Amino acid sequence: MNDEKWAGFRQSLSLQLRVIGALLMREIITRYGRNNLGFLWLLLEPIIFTVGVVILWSAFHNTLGIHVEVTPFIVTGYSSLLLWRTCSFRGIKSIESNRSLMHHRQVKVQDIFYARMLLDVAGITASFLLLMAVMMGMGLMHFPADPLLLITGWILMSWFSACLGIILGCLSEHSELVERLWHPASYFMLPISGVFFMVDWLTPTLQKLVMWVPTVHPIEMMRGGYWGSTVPTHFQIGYILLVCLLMTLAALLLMADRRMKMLV
Amino acid sequence: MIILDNIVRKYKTRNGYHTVLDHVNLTVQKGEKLGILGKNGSGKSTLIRIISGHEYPDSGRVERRMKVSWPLAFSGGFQGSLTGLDNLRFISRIYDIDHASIRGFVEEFAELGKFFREPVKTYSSGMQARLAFALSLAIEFDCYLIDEIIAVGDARFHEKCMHELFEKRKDRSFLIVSHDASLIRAHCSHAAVLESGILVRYTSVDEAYENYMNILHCNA
Repeated sequence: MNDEKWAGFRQSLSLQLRVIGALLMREIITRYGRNNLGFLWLLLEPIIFTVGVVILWSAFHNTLGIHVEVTPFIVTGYSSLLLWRTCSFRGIKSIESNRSLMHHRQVKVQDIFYARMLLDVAGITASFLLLMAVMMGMGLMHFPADPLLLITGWILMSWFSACLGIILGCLSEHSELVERLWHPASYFMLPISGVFFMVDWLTPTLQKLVMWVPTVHPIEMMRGGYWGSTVPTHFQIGYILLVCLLMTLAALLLMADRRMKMLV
Repeated sequence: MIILDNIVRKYKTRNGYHTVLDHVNLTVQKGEKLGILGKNGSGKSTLIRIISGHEYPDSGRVERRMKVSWPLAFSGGFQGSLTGLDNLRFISRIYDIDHASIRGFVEEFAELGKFFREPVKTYSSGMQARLAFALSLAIEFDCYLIDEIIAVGDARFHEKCMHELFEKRKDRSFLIVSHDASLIRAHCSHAAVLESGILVRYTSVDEAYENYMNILHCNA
């Protein structure tokens, strides 16, 4: 009996991997196309943005009250921002733009979300790595003091962003309000997300408040990983891990809701 | 064999639930050609989507013991921003077949010429239908689900489709839903009538046809 179950499981797994692979190819073709620079834009866009912001912020450095080197501060912050913003907005349109493919019973709601989130996280991770390499090459950044902490922060940030994308994607299928409300909400999240400040710069009262914001923790971890102990950072791995686990549970339950497929 | 066991499907409307399929039971044997007659809005398309796995029932069980096609409805199943060729590759991947092995057939059968490499959203509805039909013939199924055969392309192309489907694949099962009785009389050996969510099977196509005609005239 166990052998039979195992064979069935392997068969289902290989089918699901095949479908996710096919959906990935489909996303890559439509998104990065064959015309223009295609895939390169995914890498170039954050570099252009970061270089521009670094130049601007360097000029106003003293007036803005940034107490650390600007380049690594922007690189870690902007890449994190890109992760949760991209995943959340891509998540919302997932089902709609793949609806016609669900005519094939192999294609499940889960596969569509997994393929999308995988592609977005992989693309932004590649651009983050390239950005770091370019900045190191230009002498604007050094090699991270604690690479493991930086990577852990990045993984947690990716995990959080992918769950956020799936949750918003599922909810937006139930109500249009979700998309409408997420646009302003994501703007409100900008100043408190931890992208533009470090916890240590804030007053103790504010510090306590921002520590409730999940994204603050992985961003602090990444910055801690870059500077090491020379720059004070504040984060709790336990808190962000708990948030990610709860969000994963919510995402799985939402995707398993049979109505998701019926809305097609 | 396909088995439908007590399928119930309801849709939410502003005035409570509307039952589209009310405890439907059905068995389709291997090689059987079954036609289901029903008026517009009788739940035919919902039934075929549930059989294909495109949609889930609220309760009841669907068992597929043979390879069942997606509903050949002549348009769905495509991603508009992909080209015809990309769509072929996508479908080959999810059905686990080598796309090179069916490419020649699809390209020739669909008669799209250079448009095969253009996005599907630039196609006319006739071109879309031709591609859809070619793709569903390129992958071999044991049972074809057909939702309302409408004339695809011109008469000659329509003829070609009918030949591929009903002559070359006459050993397969067909499940055809239609409001057009002549279609079902031409291609089916068994028939059933779907009316207000209730499915009734008849011993012969003629009997089903008579009952269907009665329903049509009662409501007229």
